Amino acid sequence: MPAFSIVSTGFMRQAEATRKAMGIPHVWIAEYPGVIPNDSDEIFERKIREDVFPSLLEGFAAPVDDVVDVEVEPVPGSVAFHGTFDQVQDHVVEQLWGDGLPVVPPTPQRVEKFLAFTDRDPDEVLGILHPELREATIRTVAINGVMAGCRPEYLPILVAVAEAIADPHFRLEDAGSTPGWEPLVIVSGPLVGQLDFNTEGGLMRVGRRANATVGRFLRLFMRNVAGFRVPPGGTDKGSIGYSFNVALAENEAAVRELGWTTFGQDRGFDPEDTVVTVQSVVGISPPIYSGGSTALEHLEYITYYATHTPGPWAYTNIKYGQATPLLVMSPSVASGIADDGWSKDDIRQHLFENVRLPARLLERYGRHVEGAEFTFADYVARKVADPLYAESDDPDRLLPLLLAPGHTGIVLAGDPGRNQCRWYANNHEQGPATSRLVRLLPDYSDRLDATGNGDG
Amino acid sequence: MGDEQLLEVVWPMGRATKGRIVSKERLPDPRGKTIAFIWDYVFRGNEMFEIIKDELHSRGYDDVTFIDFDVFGDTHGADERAVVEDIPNKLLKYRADAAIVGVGA
Repeated sequence: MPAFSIVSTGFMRQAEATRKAMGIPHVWIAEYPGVIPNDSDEIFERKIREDVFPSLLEGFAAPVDDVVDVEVEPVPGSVAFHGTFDQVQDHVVEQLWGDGLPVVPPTPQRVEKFLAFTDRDPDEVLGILHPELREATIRTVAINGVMAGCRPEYLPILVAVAEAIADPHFRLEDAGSTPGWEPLVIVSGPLVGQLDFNTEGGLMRVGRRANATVGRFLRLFMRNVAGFRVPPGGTDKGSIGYSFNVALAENEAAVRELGWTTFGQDRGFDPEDTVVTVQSVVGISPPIYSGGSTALEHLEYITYYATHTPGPWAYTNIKYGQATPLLVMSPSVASGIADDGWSKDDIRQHLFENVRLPARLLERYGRHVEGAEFTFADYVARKVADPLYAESDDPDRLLPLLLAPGHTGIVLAGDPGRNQCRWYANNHEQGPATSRLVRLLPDYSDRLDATGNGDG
Repeated sequence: MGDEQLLEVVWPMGRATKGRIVSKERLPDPRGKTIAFIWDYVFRGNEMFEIIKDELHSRGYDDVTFIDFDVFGDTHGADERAVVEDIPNKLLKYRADAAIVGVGA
């Protein structure tokens, strides 16, 4: 059946790349010139009549080419280039394999060192990744881990990261969307200490190899295997975006001291498991300082920033019925809250009840995002939102931005000597927190010891 | 430079899995045809479709039948996967001859 798409100018390249990747190169794309939310009603109508419609008519009658070029690609894992170090770097740039930083050349020898930390078939397919619908395999994980500068012993963590984003629940296909969210890897469990992840000051800075390279790996993997590339590529449409997140590692000792559960346990795993969780981050709060002798004193400003970090963008939580934000909390703040008898669940419940914004602020923002305002009354009528969102028509009624208490993640990390937290807002249903167990060979600790680099 | 080590590097990408679907179908004459509108409920697609209908009528294509977007549902909503999966069934059920899909922006 003939299909004709309508796409605005800024998304034409992405549309062309997507139809090519999906194997449907003949879908006609009619261009809307410009940026739709910026156009008046008059200009909008004129462009539909004078630009979009004529293009559709042209497409209705356009012949379909008989000859279709088929690109021949290398065999996965085969040698694709020979050269000096500098020539390799230039080739990586030309092929759009890199992230703008020098890469560790993925030689067969380096890849084999990584594969020594698994007994899984290197060609085992972990998933098919959008938008280019390529196979994510153990081998491609190892190759991109080499390029990112990871150590071979990180492979089990990298495999778990790849498994998490390959899970359809994660919705990797949305990773090129305009909000420009960036995935965050959270590591909890014994490997945090064994592999020397930083859990304290400078938590989210580059500086420690494990944190920095595991974070870098994910972005490289999303470029090379999923196919998300910034210009000159066309598939990453993050309007501004920001750089890869270093991996965030949990301070388990601090958690145990308070008698709280670890993040891995909160995610449903056993205390002795090393767990990887990947989630989207669309906004990060300023530093949240809090003090006092009661939990409520600490929660006052945490709640403020939990509300105002996403701000009216949080209407999308309601529209898509999903939100998994993350509170990163210094152990000193957690200690103050715990001393008042509060648990993580108490914090979550308080946030669920108090993170709210007025309806009018949320509804009006829809016009700027999608080109048209919405109403919660319409959302409720269409069963998009819970009826509580339209219980009254008071535009100043405060509406909850979090959809369930249990959806907020809490990780203890950061400088224990300072009373600071940060709120990480995730992008509604895109990249919800998705966890995987890190699977190790029975003799992993021995292999780690043999490298001389672990605290095995 | 002449003594610099030459490195072999392997291809970092995964095997592409999608074949190619070559469809020779277009819609050279919309007269008497049924056109489906499929929408992601953003960027004023509903208004676009009404203008497109009007343009077709103004060009004498008065016997074109339209299947409106609400038949298919929101292709970008919370249940988009189920909605998208059901599109082929609905196109067959309502005997669509072509589909106009929007809006990517």
